[in-house]
This record gives sequence, structure tokens and C-alpha cells, in this order.
Amino acid sequence: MEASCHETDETCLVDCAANGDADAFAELFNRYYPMIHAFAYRLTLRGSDAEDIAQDTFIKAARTLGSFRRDCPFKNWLYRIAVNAAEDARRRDARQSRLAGELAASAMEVARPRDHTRLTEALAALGEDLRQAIVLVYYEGMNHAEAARVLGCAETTVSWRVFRARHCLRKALRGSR
Amino acid sequence: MKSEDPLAAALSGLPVPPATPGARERALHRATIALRQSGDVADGSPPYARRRAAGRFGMRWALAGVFVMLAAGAFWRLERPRRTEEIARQSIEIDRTVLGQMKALFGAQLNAVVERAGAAPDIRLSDGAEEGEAGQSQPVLIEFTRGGDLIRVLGYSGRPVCVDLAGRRTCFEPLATGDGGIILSGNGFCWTPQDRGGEVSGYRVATRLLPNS
Repeated sequence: MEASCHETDETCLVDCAANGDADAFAELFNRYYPMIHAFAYRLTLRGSDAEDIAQDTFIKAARTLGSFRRDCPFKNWLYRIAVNAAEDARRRDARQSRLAGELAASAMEVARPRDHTRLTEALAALGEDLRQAIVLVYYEGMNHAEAARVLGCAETTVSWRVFRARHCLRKALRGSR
Repeated sequence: MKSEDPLAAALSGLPVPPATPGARERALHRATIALRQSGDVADGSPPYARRRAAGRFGMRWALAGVFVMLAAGAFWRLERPRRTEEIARQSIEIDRTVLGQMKALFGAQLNAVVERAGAAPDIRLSDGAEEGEAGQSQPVLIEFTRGGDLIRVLGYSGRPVCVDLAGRRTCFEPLATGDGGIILSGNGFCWTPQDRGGEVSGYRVATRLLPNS
């Protein structure tokens, strides 16, 4: 099955990268790194964690490109890896209980306007599963079925999580006014 | 539809800080190493520029196909080394930066940074006995490869380092020579650039001097 390959053709880039073509992989990386970095930041709300997760995502993608089955968009496959990487990072965090100083440093990473701080706090207060659902649906523009495939759960579960998250966020944002 | 939702509007206000300088380059560098290591990679598979030319022509156009492939081959030969050189140059720059950052953190105690693709870098420090000399030595890069396994050592000439090769702890000192080469002097072995094809504990060795930061 020979593809008519153009450098902009994602299927071809994925095929070539899966065959070890570093240039094709770099092209995919450049295309998706900003998206995955932003996604990881919204999941963790910490800049340093977002960088680690984005890096882990592409390392894992590089290792397992051969197993990418093409039954979903490449972008969604990366999202799925990023969700797993974020969960791994959270488990590591819980085990190692990072230094309080790092938390303080990450709080100072971005001088956020007050509204953003409130929003960040409200998002941080959500459970991880609720935050994953809200980030995929609201920030990444997925419908509930797509988000369910990325998260590996039922569509109704995503709908329920989004409903719960919306309820919590509204309450938190209203309550702090 | 979502723009009418006040919650969606509020969520859209969350800023994403940019990645810190070098984070993106480091991620690409490490992911590329992981790609090289991945077991299902077929070595020497054709780049997509060449594959593009391959499948379009049937037997009727064999001659034209051969001509195009020759032209593509000529282009590839000219273009590919340039891109490879650029990637190699960036790779050296990242290695130099990583070593520089570690040196800034650990100063003269830093012996080496050992990377195994995908794993966090392993920082090797001296116990203080060699303080004072380090940091002024020539930075070096040593790569050990065996099958899919790749171990990279960013260190300094004359600074001892131990790595786990095939489950065996192997200690050595990289020594920069006057002619720009690197010798590895270890317990029970001595590897020189002339040992092309010579292995250490079953691993192929490649070395390179890094520019001073």
C-alpha cells in the first residue's frame, strides 16, 4: 500500500515515523507539541509538570508508534497517552510527596491575574477524572463520545463527569465572587 | 454554541504559560532517541521523500520511474546530509546545555550525566575528593549501543564514571587525546578510537568531544 506522500500528509508522516524516519517524527512533534503541552498544563495546572508530561507523551509515542492502529485520529491517540502520562505523574507525586518549595515555586511561575487564580483554584479543586473530562470537552473541543474513547470509559460516564464538573465549577466561581 | 455558555467563556480565560526555554528541544531530543531505540523500527528504512517517488509508477513507466528515482536519489544525497548535520548540531548543543545546567547546579562535584532513553537523567557526583579539577576538563559524550539499548554518558575527560552494561557495573575514565580522540580507560580494558568495531561488554562505543560551555 504505497502512499502518495506529502510532507503535510499526516497519515504518511505517521507511517514514515513508525518506520524510524526522524524527520517525519520531528514534523509530527512540531505540529502537536504546543497542543499537548497546553493540554497537560490544563490537566495539572503546573508548568513544570506540563513540560514533563508533554515530554513523556512524545517519548511513549515514539516507542509505540508501531502499535498505533489508526482507528482514531493521531491527535486523539496522543491525548490518550498524555492522560496516562498525567496519571503516572500524579501517582509518582503522591509517592514522593514533592517538596513544599516546589509548590511555592510553581505558584509563582505565572503571575496570573486574580480571575485566573480563581479559575485555576476551581479547576484544581476538581477531582482528576472530572478535570480530564472538562479539559477534553471544553478546551480540546471533543464531544462526549470522543472524550470517552480517549479516557477509555463509557460516553455516559463522560457526560456525568462533565455535568458534575460544571456544577462544581459554577458553584466555586459563583461562591468566590 | 459554547460561546453562549458563561462557564465555557470563563474557562477560555485560563492562560497557558509557555514551555521554559529548552524544554521543547529536550523533549524532541529524547523522543528521537526513543524512536531510534524502539524495537519495531526497521533500520535504514527509506525517508518519506524517497518513498513518495516510489509507488506511483507502474511497469509502463519504468524508465521514467528510474529517472525520477535517480533524480530523487541525487536530491536526497545532497539534502539528507544537510538535515542530518543540522540534527547532529542541535543534538550537540542540547547535550552541551544539559551538561552546563548540571555543572551550574553541582559545580566541581559533577562527574557525569548518564542518560538511558526515556529515563530521567542520572547525575553522577564525586564524593568531593576530586573537587577543584572538575569543570575545567574537556566535556565528552560517550554512547554505548547494543541492539535497542542506548546509554549516553555526558562527562568530562579524566572524571571517572560507572555505568551498567549488560547487568555489569563497568567503571572507566574517558580521556581526551591531543588529536581530538577519546580513550576509555577502565578496569581491565582500554578502548581507543582505533578499536573500530571493538566493543565494551558487548556494547558498541561511539565518542565525541563536546564544546566547552
